[in-house]
Amino acid sequence: MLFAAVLVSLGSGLPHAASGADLSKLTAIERAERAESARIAVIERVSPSVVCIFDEDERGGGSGVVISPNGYGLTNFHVVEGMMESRSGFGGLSDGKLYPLQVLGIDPGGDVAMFKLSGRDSFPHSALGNSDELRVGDTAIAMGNPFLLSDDYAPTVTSGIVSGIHRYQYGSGDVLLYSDCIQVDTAINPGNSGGPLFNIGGEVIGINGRISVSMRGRVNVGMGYAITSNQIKPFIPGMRAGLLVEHGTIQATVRDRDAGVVFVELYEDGPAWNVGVRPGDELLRFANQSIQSANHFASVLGTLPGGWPVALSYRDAAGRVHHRVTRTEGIKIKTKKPFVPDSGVVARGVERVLKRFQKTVEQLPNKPIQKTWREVHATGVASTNPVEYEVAAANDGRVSWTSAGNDSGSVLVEKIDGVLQASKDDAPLPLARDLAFRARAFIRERLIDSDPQTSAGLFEHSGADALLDIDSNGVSHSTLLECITAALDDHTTLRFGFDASVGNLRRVIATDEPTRESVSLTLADATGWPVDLVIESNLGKTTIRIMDRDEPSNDLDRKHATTRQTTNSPESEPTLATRVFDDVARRVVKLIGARVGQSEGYGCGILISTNGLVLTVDSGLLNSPNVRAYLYDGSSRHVDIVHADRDLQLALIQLTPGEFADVDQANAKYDCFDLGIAPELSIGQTVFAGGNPFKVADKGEYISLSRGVYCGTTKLDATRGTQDFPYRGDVLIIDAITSAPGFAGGALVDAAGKLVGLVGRGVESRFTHTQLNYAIPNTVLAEFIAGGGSSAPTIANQSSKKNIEVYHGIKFFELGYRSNPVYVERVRRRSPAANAGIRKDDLIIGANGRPIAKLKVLERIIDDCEPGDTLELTVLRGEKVKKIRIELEEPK
Amino acid sequence: MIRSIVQVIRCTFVATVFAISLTQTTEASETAAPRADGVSDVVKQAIAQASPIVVRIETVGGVQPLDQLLASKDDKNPNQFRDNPGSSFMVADGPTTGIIYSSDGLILTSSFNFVRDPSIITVALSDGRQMTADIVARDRVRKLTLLKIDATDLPTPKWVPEEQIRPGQSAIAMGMGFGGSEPMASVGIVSAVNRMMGNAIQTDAKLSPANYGGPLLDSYGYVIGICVPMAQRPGELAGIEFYDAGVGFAVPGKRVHEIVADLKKGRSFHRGWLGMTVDPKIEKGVAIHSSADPSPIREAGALPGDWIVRIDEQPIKHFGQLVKALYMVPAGERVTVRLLRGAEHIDVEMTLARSDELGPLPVEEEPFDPSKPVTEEESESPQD
Repeated sequence: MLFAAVLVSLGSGLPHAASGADLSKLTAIERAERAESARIAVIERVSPSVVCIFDEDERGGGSGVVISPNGYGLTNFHVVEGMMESRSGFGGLSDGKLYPLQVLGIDPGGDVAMFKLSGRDSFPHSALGNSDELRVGDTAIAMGNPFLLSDDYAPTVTSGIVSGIHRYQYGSGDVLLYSDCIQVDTAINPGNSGGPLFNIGGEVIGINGRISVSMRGRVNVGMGYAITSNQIKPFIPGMRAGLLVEHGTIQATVRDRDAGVVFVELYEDGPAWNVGVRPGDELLRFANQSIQSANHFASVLGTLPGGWPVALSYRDAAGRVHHRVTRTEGIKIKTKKPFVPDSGVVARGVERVLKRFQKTVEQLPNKPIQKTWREVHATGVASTNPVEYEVAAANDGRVSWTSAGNDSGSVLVEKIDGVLQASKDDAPLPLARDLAFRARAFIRERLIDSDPQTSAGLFEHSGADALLDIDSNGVSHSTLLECITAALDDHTTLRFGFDASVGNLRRVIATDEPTRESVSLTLADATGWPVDLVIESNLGKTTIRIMDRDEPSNDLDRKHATTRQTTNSPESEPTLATRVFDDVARRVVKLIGARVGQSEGYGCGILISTNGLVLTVDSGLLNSPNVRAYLYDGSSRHVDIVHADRDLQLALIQLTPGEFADVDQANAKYDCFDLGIAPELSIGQTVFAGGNPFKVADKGEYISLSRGVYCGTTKLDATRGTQDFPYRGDVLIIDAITSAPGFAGGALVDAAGKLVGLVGRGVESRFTHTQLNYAIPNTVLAEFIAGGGSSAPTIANQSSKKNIEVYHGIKFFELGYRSNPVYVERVRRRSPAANAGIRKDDLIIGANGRPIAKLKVLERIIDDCEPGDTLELTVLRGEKVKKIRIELEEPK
Repeated sequence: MIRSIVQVIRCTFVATVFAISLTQTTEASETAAPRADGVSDVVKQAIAQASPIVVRIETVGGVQPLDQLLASKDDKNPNQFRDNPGSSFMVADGPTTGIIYSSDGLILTSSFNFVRDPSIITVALSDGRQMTADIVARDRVRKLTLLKIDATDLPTPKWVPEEQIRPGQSAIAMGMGFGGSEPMASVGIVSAVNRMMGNAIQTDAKLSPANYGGPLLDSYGYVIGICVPMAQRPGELAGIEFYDAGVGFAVPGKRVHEIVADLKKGRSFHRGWLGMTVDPKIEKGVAIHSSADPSPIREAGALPGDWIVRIDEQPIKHFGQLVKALYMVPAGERVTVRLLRGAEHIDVEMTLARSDELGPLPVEEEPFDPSKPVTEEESESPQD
């Protein structure tokens, strides 16, 4: 595997190697304290880069983040959509000042936009991280200006975990699609839009843009979504150049079939058709990922720009597998008003490329460059669509540009007596492209084997493109090899400069570094900073190292790299959470059926036996036709109700293969939770909830994980809709939001991944009139199962409710409606109440620990009692509060 | 037929469960060392430190606060409940939370817990004692209320110095609102300091009626502030719409002490009014439409047609900014209002009034916009 050879070094030493040893000596509490200090430090460091965005009237707004010292920043398209008329607004920073903000390019399809702040020489900024490294359970810190609460432009910081990755959220038509996005339980609210999502190292791993909302309204219910930093990176050059950038399509639709994902419709002459795909062919891999579902394909495709090289593998009708590379077509986006690129921005883009080129020229050795690489020194593209704007610089000093329109020209940059000079020149575009193709072909030929699947990943933006261009341009591989061999024989490292974002060669530099059989590639990262890639070939073994290069004007980034090393280690939670996720994901099944009555058409259950018994909540979902259970691996099972209890609101179901004969039920062994061991919980202890809120995970996708703490245990007293909720036993209250639709039936586990309860159905607490987040404890679950086992079998909705009355002897004061304070009007002589000392005119303010403000509530508590039970009343007599215990009797 | 199948399945199940427990026990002993979770331990310590100062408050009697429902009534806005979910919130009658403020029986809590004006209030201490309490005074602006119980030698909280509170530090909210005799806890971080015009610390710990009035703690169990519902608008239930949404507020110690100094003397705080109406049709800028007689704005010499361009340090460009500049200023406090009359800027000082100190809106006076006579509906238009 190629990836095994990739060493990621941050180029700043490895301080944590030493501190790691020290850390092991710390107690858990000390580690937690260190993690807290580290978190505070990271937040303090990155906060100044967070922008509170306002429109010109300072009415509406959102958030953003600055990613380069000269004030370039990212936000959501929907944040600046209202500013497109003037292309201007304000950006408030944590220094308390408002800076003029200019809207640059936009990505309406992916809901991203770029802006530039002005009014300062240098802006605090944050680095973009690698969102591919994210795992479910990693800490995710959001910053921004929810509800525009910030008076002083200091951002709001909220913390949570990554609940899911590779999520797909539909947009409206072709715009505002969230493809392959990050799902977090970090609190994200209106106004957070466009703000950064940071990892624990303070790198921007996403741009927060949307949330799932329930009937409560537009507030967070534990489900936020962020566009990944890696999706945004390829679009940055285009957006920075002030363009409308397009997402790509391969002009083909796919559909889930039992056997896999199958092409349904294709446009002739579309990118898929042109590489031989025909309707009925099976899609195996796309953009270096093995495709699990149609949803998955849509998600991966949605991240790609138009004009982007992409590898795909498919199986044709004859069963042959083909590996092909094609290029996506851009999806034309219609904005409300036609988008006209700001020519000023484009001009600055040219300037920027020129500047970078000049820097390169300055660094050139005085001797002539390797003659084989004669003409071309550099080429760059200021847009994701190469046809739109292209800048090329030759090593003869000529820099030229062309655009889709008629804007083109060139200048000649010369180093005369050590001084760079530029003059106008109308010479045609040099042979930049030709060389680019050759260079890429070299990489492919020399360093990567010929299977496009294994060339995946590293060169997905360049190697594959080279392959395509070579094919269409017919440049001989051997010619190129000759060039390279000559270069290597000359003890020279060739430095290929690629604009990774567009897959085009930017510069090729020959240096005198005497590293034999070694090639360094300079790729541009998202913000345009170069990243060095050193490829060494020794006795046929190839290793590739990625080096972060220190950008001269970028001290903050270096500091950041160091901090990341030291802050990553002390935090114990992400490790816990990621491990917990592995435990939980395999033991929770997704139930998907049809909507029946008040219940959602989806939910969860937890596996409790190796032969497929699943515990879930009793809801209409189970009675819906065609309800199926989906396992973590995407396979599905038929569901039979074994036993259900309406009062406990629990159900036990059995998974069976149903009509799918290829599932071998007899041999199926399921990973399952253990109900037997109930770990002790202490208040404030970390817990995790796994479920499928809002059906965010489709059939074959992983469930969501949320982190919270165990708040305490109480008796449930709640309503669901307008009805009393029948279950009134103990529940575990948690502060992870599980009241969202679809979470019910999920698992609540402790930090060791042990089951502590089953996430209960959405209810509103009578104590607070708020949506309750709770779980039914293991003990109740075990009783339910034991009860079902001993009594006669019932299919569904058994009610164990008793209907026994009790005698206490109190006549309560009733004035019409029973919402008045509960005064004692009369006590029957020698009754249990009289014996216990209840008197006329006592005010009853509590019963069995629950406050009593009205008779209705007291009556419900008494209803739940049986003769022989003790009813503890709290009464107010004058100014004194008394507790009186009444032994309840059978009615006479 | 179905029954017999079910029976078979259950038999299998019982056997399986037995088998699993055996294997699990073995597994458990192998992985006996629990995964380190220092965060839980830290929280546990903090809770233990602070538990003695947390009290449970119960109330009897009172009515739903009607003013909230009326004040936010806006027939023209079909999305009013979506835009302002708090307006549909009914206060429940579960227990609420407070903390002991001083050893001689002063209890500090949130005014949210008494919006129904209950006739009877009791306080239950952590040692099990329960007794009646009297309201000393209320701050309806910063949402605090001071109670007095007949007790001495009570444990008192340790406060975090405000300058030491930093975004990102752990924040633990304690509350009694879900019932039970022990306080419950929810955990988050400090999201921001200096919110709500310097009156609040912001946190993403889940705050709700379950812990309003309770303490927000740091990892050592010191009190950062008192949890209250808040939003950038006036109203006793303002902020309830944010419950459990990761946007919560606590009045920090220093502010609490300043407010309590007044509350102790029996001074209650009410929402402050300028006593004027604005033309809701004007989107840019805030112009005085009419003013009550008497009212602070009228007595300061402002006239209908004057534009309000600044209040203290806050530039005013639209009505929302006017609300934001004043929602945290209680009646009795002074503000400087900069008026624009013609081309002239006039700074006038005034003391905000309580609503019951405002006179009626004069109907005979020519309002600012003559094309639009004052109607009853308009007299209910946004006021400040």
